[in-house]
Amino acid sequence: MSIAEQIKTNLVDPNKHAPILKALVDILEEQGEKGVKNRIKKWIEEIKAETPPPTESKE
Amino acid sequence: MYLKHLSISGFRGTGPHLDLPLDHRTIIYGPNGSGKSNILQAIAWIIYGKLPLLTGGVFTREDALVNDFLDEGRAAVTLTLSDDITITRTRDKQRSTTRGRNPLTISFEMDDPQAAVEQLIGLGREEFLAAVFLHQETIRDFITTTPERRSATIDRMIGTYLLRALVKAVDPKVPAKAIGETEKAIERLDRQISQASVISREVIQKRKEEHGDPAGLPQLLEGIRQDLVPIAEKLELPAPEATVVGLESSLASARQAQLHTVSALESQAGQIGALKERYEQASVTSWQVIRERKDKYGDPADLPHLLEEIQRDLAPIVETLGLQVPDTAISSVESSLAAVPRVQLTTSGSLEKKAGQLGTLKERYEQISKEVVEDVSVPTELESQRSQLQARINTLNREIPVLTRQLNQRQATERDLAELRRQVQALPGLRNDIEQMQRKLKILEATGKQGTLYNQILAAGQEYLEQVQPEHCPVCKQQIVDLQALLETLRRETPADVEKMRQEYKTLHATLVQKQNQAAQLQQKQNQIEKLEVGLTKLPEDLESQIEEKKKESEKLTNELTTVQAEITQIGGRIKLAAEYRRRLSDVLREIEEALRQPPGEYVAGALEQAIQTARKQAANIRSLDIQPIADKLDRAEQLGQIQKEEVRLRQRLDTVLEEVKQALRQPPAEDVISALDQAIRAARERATEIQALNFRPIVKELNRAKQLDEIRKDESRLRQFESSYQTANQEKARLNYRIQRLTDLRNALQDIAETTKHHQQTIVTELLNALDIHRYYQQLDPHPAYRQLQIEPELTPKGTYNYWIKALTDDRSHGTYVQTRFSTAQANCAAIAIFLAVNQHLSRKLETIILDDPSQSMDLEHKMRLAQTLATIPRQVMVATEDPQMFEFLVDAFETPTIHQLEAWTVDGASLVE
Repeated sequence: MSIAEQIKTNLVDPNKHAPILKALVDILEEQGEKGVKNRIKKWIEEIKAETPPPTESKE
Repeated sequence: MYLKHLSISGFRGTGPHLDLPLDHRTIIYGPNGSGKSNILQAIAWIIYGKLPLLTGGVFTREDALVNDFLDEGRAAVTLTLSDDITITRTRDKQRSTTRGRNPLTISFEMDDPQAAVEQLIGLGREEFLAAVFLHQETIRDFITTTPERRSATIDRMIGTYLLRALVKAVDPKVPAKAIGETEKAIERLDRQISQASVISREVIQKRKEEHGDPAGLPQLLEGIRQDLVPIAEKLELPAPEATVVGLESSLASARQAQLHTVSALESQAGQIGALKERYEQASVTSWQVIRERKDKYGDPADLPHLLEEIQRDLAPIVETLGLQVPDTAISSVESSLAAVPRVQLTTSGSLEKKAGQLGTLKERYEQISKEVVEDVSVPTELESQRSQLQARINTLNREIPVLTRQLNQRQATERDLAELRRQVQALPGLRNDIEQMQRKLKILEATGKQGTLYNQILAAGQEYLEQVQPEHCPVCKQQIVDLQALLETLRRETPADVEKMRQEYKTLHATLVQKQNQAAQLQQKQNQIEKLEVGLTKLPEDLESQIEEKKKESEKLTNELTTVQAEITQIGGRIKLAAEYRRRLSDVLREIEEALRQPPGEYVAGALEQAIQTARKQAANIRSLDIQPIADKLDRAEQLGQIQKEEVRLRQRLDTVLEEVKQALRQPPAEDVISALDQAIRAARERATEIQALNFRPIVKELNRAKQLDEIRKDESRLRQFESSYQTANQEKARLNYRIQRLTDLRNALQDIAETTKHHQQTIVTELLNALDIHRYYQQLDPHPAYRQLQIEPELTPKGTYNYWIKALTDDRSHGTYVQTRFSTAQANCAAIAIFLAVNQHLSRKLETIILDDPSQSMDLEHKMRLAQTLATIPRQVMVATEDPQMFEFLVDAFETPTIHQLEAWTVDGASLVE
């Protein structure tokens, strides 16, 4: 099993961080460290643009 | 799986076609630049589509993948694997290496050929370049670069490079920074919301009770405006607006204008006062002074007549002095009159000087005219006598030195003769000694010959007796009883002084030769005496008396010549003196002519006396000229001129002052200028007092109240605004809080990934390093006498990545050193290759191939041989490129039946194999 596969399968809790980790390792293999850093910045911009889900009124 | 066949066309430096079967052991051999590395790079490129270790700006400027010298403009590489799967990658020439497509085809149907190939190989690109393809740059990095870069290289070799890159790239600080910015935005919103509570309705109500209802603000502002309008008019300001800002501005302008206007009015009153003083001065005081001066000097209207009178008086005087007659201007007369005393003095002085010079000339003329004598000359007989005497003296002076030299020569010859005669007196005695010595030598010669013969006979007798030992003497026949006694007797009787006689002969002979030489020299001197005696007879004997007679004659003639010469000199003096007197007389006459400006005539002294008397008379006349009355008149004329000018100036000044008065009063003044000025001063001071008395205090008080009401009104407006936007702010705050939550999730996830990656990296690195069989390869490659063990020591950095230190140890581990500190380049190369081979053997993958590009750099013969033998033991497919002939030979010896591809030197036709 390659290191990339080891990371993807065993590194952290798959249920908790699997989507992030898989994306990061794929980008790391394809684009290197810079690609990973750019992806994290893009996530932050996406979070900033998000709208919170509607909450139920206390009344 | 292994690599079976490689076909290359137009890739980098290769030609149109390069066909390379690949075996279990393959050697690619050729000179530098022949294209070996290109062949190995083609393997990496066909699998991954990128060139190994070729990145950077220059690869964006040209296409380094396609051979530029081939017309096809296309690169193609085909790789056949051991299971006959064929991969082909092509590329058409582009403008850069990093752009453009490198399409890949595979011999079986796949949607994603690239993924399929990597799946077949079982390695990512980084792992392939670290664990399969040992490039020259990798070895160099391992030895010479920084610890971090070297550690990254080792991470690539042992396969943990992705972990290193992930730890570095996953930085939780990036979302943490975004969280901080969002928290600050929430703080700003909170501050806005809290401001609304500060401006509460209760506070506003309390302020209304204190200052009044803002509803009455317009009436209040209008009242203030009404109060300010008359003040503004007085200060010549525009009418104010009925707003807080407009009234504030108008009030500030009015206060400033009050100060300015009062100051300006006071200054105006002062200036008019000063003007009044100047007018009084110009109109009254100065005219009074002028009148007094007119009383003293007269009316300036008489000035032209007075100047004409002065001109008439002055004309004869200046004409006498040779000066120009002035015109009627005061300055001209003044200048002319000033010149008179000076010219008067110099002219009279000059005339008296001239009279004195004429007197001197007269005295000189009279003196010289008495001294002049008639012409004299030297007599011819005297000149002839002097020439004869001089000629005879010259002859004697030439003869006396000749005779003196002959006398000296005779005396020297006589001294030489005396000396030679003294020396040759010893010649007869010497000849006698020589004869005696020759006789003695003959005797010694005969005696010596006899002694020698005797000795020879005696020696022969002794030899005979000693050898034969006869009983009887062979000569005298006597019986020999005791041979030894006989021999002793013979020795005793042998003449002992033969040698002494020889020595004496030798000494005597040498003395004889010496004496004979002396006799020969004396004989030569005898011959010289005879020659000198002959020469002496040729010189006269009375030379001394001849010389003495000639000297006496010369002395006598010299005395006579001196007498004649003195007589001639005396006559010459008289001639010179007569000429001098005639020259001086001529000079004096010329000077007299110049002084009289005409020839003096026959009676010179009389003419001179007459000229002297005339000059003295003229000097007396000039000295008697009197200019004082004219000077007095000129003084009066000057005073009248000044009065005239003063009157003009005074009129001009009065006109100027009146013009200023007109401007100050802003109208032409009445006849009584003083009263008009006094009235203007009073008016300015009264207006200043009126402006000074303006009171702004009540207006200020009302305006402050209006400002308070205005603030209350604005606060009420703001409060209404806050109340309407409160809900929006709370909604924004909720959105930001949600963002913080999401960013925190991301940050925590990245932290978890980073921490776990570090932990995982530690586990993998520790396990991998323990499992690697580095020692075996290291010991095969490098026969180091002390450091036999090699290990990689990981060191965790604060960033969470590892720095690796390559350490060599002795077998008992008592001594250790870092490879970079003590190992040579070749030894460090061995360490790098040992790690590479160990990693390659350990990692499991599908491609069982190992590729080495020029691995024997800097190695000596033994290390090259060991490297070849080590590579021969590798249980995988091995491909080695080398330019080193020794390494090539070792590889050929070590590998069993290797496939060899030998390359020609590169040409523009591309890399090609040797036939």
